[in-house]
Amino acid sequence: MASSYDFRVAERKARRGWRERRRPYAAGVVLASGAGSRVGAEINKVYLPLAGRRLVSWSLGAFARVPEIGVVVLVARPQDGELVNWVLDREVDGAEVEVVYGGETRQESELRALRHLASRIDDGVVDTVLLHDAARPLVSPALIAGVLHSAREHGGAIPGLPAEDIVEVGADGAMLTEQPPGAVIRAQTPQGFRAAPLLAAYEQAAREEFLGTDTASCMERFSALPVHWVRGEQQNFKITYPHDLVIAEQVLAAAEYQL
Amino acid sequence: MMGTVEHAMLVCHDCGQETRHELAYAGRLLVVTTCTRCGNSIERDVRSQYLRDLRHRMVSKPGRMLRRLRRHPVGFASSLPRTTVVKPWELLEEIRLVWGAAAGARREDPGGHQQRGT
Repeated sequence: MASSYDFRVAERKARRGWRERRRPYAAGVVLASGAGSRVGAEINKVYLPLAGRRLVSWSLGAFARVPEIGVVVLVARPQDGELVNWVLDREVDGAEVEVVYGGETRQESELRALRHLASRIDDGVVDTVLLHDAARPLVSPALIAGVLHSAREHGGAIPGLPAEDIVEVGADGAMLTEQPPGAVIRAQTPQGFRAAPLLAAYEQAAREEFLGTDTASCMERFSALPVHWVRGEQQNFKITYPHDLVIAEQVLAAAEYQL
Repeated sequence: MMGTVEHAMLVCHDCGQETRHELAYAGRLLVVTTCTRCGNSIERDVRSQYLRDLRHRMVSKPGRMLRRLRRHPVGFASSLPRTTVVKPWELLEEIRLVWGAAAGARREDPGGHQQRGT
């Protein structure tokens, strides 16, 4: 027979469960719908094998391991549907991944992901959204958590590495302007923002037919949210050249396939 | 080209443009990449890594097979006869790929992997 103590414990647990369900969480959006010019039967590079798994599943796994990330959204191309199912079935264990089909541009794909989350953003269930390029497979859970904390604190956060080898070309196209140390960073992803202003900025950009280069450029134009940068990671590079696949494979092997 | 072959658009070091690349894998290892436009290729000597990887795959195979059997019993059972026949040939082709690429890498660069244009 249950005692009053048992009931009190059960009540506390129920209350805690309700609070946990009500506590807002972050959404991770992994973009795998890159347009890339296509001439034949080649696959989208984010589905290339890398150290025994497909490129995209390394990012999905990293997001799934961050406790504050409550939902992971994969933005894919409709023609990759079969591959997406295969990857989610075989390589992404223990993570609930919601699939959204992307648009013609990166910005349109991001907008579709945000609209997919819109009801949860409006209800305050999703408070922050992190947008990540699937072509950066070596992102670590620590960097994701760092960007998330900074975005929650300041409004927006972008990871990057100081670009000390960059010089600016002057207005005349010939004179070089020296950059003060630390003035320029090489931006990486995931880029994180408070969810409601992000959705509002993307909806406004769509209405005004503005096309930005990345998430931050759209936010700069349509939102007053302060954006901070957090130190990125050397290993969080974008797979561009064939040699990048070799380096990524070596990084993963050195880390015993655990990021 | 043997082993698992994939094609994807990547930027070629030689062409400097996004071109179609052929990528040949043996197990978890990328062994050869070739730009189908200019023929620029990277061949890696991965023999020791391959043997380590092969050992790992053999040890983890029963667990992976069991997982597939639990998730998709019908698909697993129906693919088993074909896999039993094809797998040894795939393994042989992987070995030929790895040792062929190693020979190519050694010819040009005794230290490791090589880049070659045609």
